[in-house]
Amino acid sequence: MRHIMVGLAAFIALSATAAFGGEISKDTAERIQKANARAEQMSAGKVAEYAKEYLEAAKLSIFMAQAAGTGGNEKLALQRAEMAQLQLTVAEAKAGQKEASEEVALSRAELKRLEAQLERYMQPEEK
Amino acid sequence: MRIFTLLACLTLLSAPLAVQAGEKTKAQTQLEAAKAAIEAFAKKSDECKLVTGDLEAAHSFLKKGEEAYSGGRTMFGLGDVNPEAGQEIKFDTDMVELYLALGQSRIDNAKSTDELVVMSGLVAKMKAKVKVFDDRKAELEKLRASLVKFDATVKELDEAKAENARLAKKAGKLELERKAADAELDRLKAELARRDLAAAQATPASLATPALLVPTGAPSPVAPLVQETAGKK
Repeated sequence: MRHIMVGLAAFIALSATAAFGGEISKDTAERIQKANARAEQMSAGKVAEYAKEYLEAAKLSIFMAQAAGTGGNEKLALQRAEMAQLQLTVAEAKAGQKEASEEVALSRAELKRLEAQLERYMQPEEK
Repeated sequence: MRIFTLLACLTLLSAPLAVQAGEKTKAQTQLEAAKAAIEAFAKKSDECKLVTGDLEAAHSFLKKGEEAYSGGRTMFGLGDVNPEAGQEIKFDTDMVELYLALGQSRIDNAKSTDELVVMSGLVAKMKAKVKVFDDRKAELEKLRASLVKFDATVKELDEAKAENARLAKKAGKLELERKAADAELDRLKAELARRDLAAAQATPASLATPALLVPTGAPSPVAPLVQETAGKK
């Protein structure tokens, strides 16, 4: 499925950039590079586990931005780089939220265990 | 006739426009969906300060999309917008969606964080309560162990007392036997003295008779009796 999506994205990006032939600005290239570096960094962390969907989407956007950049389509490259950054931010936020939810669940389980323990203590001892 | 022809032409010309007016284009649908999503989110977030920036960004992209729609419409408003505007609208509405997702995530994260603070407090309180019981339980176990040790010591003490009583009884018995033996010894000594005296009185010259002399180092006639008594002691 992912390969199909990447292939399709590549096709769209290349077809969209076919009409252009120049180079993109240094600023846009840097943005794409930054997004790529950020995505790589996040791939090695918890985000890859908790917000894989958004991270994959961001990588696809980066790929499309790179393809647009190669074709000299400044506008599309910039848009995709901007979208990739936002997708990475969303991925981070989602991962943080999921991690917090997990911690809440763990705390809830811990509380339940302690309550049960206290309940056992409160009951009269069997002889 | 000319009027009919004119009316027919007008009808034919206006028919597609009427159909078009009733249908929404893809770009319009995207923009309306984005707008509705922003409104729903703004209502749901209830002016939460956390997502103010995200809402503003979403509004900004919606505005850009609407501008792209206005600028990209084809002649006479027929059909959808031109491809470039369509792509811009798609990008803008996608960004709106992402900003709303980000806002929602921020709200959920804040809720989870608040909940975590509350839960952590409850867990800490509960841990303190359980610790009191744990400590008491440990103390009780310690006391139980001490009690077992104490019971063993008491048992040992009872055994020692019983042994002591038994030995005291035995010692009393032996003391009585010793006293009896002493009395027997005294009696025998007296008997011996009496016999020696009687013998001396009966034969004063007996000392000259070697046959009647008791040889030095030879046992006394009462020696076996004394030895017997000493053996009883």
